[in-house]
Amino acid sequence: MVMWRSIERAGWGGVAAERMEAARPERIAALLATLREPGARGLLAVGAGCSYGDAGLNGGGRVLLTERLDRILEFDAQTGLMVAEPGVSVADVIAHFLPQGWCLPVVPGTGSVSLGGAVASDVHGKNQHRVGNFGDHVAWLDLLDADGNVRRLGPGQQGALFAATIGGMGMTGVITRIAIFLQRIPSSTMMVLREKVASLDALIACLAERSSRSEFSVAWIDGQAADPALGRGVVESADWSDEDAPPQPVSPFRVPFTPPASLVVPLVMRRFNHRYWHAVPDRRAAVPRRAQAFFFPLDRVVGWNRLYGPRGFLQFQCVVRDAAALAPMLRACRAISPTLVVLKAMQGTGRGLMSFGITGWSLAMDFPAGPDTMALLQRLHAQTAEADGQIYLAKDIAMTAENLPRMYRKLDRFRGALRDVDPRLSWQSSLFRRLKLFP
Amino acid sequence: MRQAETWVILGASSGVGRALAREVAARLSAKIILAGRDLHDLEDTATDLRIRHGVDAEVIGFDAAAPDTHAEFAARTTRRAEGLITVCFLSAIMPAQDAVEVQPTLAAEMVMVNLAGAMVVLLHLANALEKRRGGRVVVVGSVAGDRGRRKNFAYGASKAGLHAFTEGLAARLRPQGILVTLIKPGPLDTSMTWGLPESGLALDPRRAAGAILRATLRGRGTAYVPAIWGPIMTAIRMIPAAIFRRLRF
Ligand SMILES: Cc1cc2nc3c(=O)[nH]c(=O)nc-3n(C[C@H](O)[C@H](O)[C@H](O)COP(=O)(O)OP(=O)(O)OC[C@H]3O[C@@H](n4cnc5c(N)ncnc54)[C@H](O)[C@@H]3O)c2cc1C
Ligand SMILES: NC(=O)c1ccc[n+]([C@@H]2O[C@H](COP(=O)([O-])OP(=O)(O)OC[C@H]3O[C@@H](n4cnc5c(N)ncnc54)[C@H](OP(=O)(O)O)[C@@H]3O)[C@@H](O)[C@H]2O)c1
Repeated sequence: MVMWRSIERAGWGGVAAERMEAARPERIAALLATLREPGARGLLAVGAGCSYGDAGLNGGGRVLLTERLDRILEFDAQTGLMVAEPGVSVADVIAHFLPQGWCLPVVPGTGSVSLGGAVASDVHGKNQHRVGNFGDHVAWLDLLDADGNVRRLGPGQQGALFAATIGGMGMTGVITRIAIFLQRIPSSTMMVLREKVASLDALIACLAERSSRSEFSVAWIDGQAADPALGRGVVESADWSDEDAPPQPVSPFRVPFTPPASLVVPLVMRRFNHRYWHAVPDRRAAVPRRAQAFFFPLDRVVGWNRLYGPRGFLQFQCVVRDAAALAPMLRACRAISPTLVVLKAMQGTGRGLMSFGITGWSLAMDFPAGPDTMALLQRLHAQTAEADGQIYLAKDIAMTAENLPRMYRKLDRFRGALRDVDPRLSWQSSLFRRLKLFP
Repeated sequence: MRQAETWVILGASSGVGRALAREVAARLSAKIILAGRDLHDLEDTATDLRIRHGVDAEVIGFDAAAPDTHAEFAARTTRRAEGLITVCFLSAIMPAQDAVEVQPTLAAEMVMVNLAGAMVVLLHLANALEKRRGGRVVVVGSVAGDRGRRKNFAYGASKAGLHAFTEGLAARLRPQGILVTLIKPGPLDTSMTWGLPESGLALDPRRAAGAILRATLRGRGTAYVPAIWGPIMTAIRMIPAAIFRRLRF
């Protein structure tokens, strides 16, 4: 008998909370037991709940929280191969292995992300242009299917199911073990260079140039700036330092509650943007920073997403081939200026049939939720589709099903794989139903 | 170098047991013996402890409901242990009170694990510790054992028995310098309470583990976890029986 707790949950953006029943298995035997009680709307494995939209929700259905499946099961100090359970967080792996000279090859923008979630969304980091997505470094996975079989998947082992599971948003089953190659690093310190750039064209040129030379690169755009300063921002590039620099203590700041109004956010985020813009020194020299501080700038304000108040916020993230598509998108946001804008050069696509990534430019923008935000997102989605781009499903809550085939060209193969592995639709999510992923 | 020591955790697959093993490994770098029935799960935890904390960890099968096996279990455990031994007993089951009322044999199964099994294995282990002239014993009871609550008195009874047993065991082992610590937790956020209506305020097992370790190392006789349950239970214990009988909680 499985204990189910009724919970109300929203994605990271705090928009559209839904009610669902949750189990929280602490061991594999308990996980197996949940398969016998799928409920009417199927089951969904969920990680840390860092997906912005509804990828990690199964409204009216049941979810399996993986956070207590949190053990590291193997580490080979020769090859760097680490095996772990899905509930181990990215931050946990980094905290443990960084001092030993190893790092996850792909690190998303928050350390809270679980390894299971990192595989299921095939996440990318600031080094995507160099090393690809998370799934590119996975040696094998164990997948628990709806019939209770654990299947070991890899590039050469049930390759079609492996490709459907990487970036597969939990639709193939529960990832119960992940084997991933860690990357050797010379220190726990990054040499970080920040350059202020006054216009979008210059920013794109600078980001392209830095991406060709540095391991890590990303640009923060000032969302409040309009023509002629449209797209002004800061290009941040970094490489591992050969030696450790004295660590700078950072104290986390916690947002203990959801403030009543979302008024605070624009102010706080404006300050965040402002600080980014003005904190950049005139000297063009790289400065040492702790790797964690570089990877997770937002984690310093624990619970910053709550600052948006009860209405929450939405994130738009697309990738487009041609940089020319970016300016019209930024201009489309004149009425609702984004609180955070991040641009990243991407190179190549992931291994998964539904992986996010094409060679081009990834633009992410946060917007406080409001009456007109949905319409704006629809418009941005249309622009993305016209530019033959993709919307990142891990961030999405607003896209319509019609856009999906054009953006994800391997959708038919994905649906085919789902037909094979899960003909009874045992795995479902709110996103799954919204985007009509049904095989 | 720190003197060798070994922590034996019975019920190590429990939410609190895993957290306690990690806490001990992180703070004391002691050898850890994980005991329970789900050997597959315990092996995973042992691996995790070795990788994360570089400690020596091993698994020994233990079924509280099979007291005939406990002598052998105690012998094997003491053979495998190094240095000072700390025995921690955490195994327990908690069938719902209404289920017990419908099917009273569940009460017997529960007492078998929570109390009878605990007594048999702890008596065997106490003999071994006496022979070694040292060690520590930690027994996890519950605030539920302090009064017979309408909503949970079957489980409460098993824990009340365990409390009395532990008190006596402490008196027996004291002359040998073996300290016995009784832990009485309030609600903890583990599988035991997941899905129960009143589980909102449950304590994170990692924090519970920290408190258990501190209480043990300080040689406390009894420790409520978190400490706030001390005064609360003092007040609840003072409610006269005539009134308590009428309460529905
Ligand atoms: C502040 C912040 C910064 C971010 N930065 C980045 C970034 O830089 N790059 C990037 O790519 N993403 C980024 N993200 C998004 C995040 O990496 C993804 O949403 C990721 O999937 C979240 O993982 P999670 O553990 O929180 O999973 P959840 O959000 O709980 O779930 C995400 C998906 O994974 C599936 N899933 C989770 N665990 C399992 C499992 N064990 N088996 C099968 N399926 C599973 C779920 O079903 C769901 O479809 C960021 C998010 C935040 C909040
Ligand atoms: N959770 C709470 O709110 C709470 C409050 C107060 C006190 N406590 C006490 O704290 C302790 C740990 O609780 P928890 O919440 O962490 O429990 P849990 O996660 O439910 O784990 C229960 C443990 O008991 C073990 N067990 C059950 N039957 C057994 C048997 N026949 N032989 C050996 N072991 C057996 C299980 O091991 P296997 O099944 O793997 O063998 C498991 O390790 C228990 O003593 C509990 O009574 C808990």
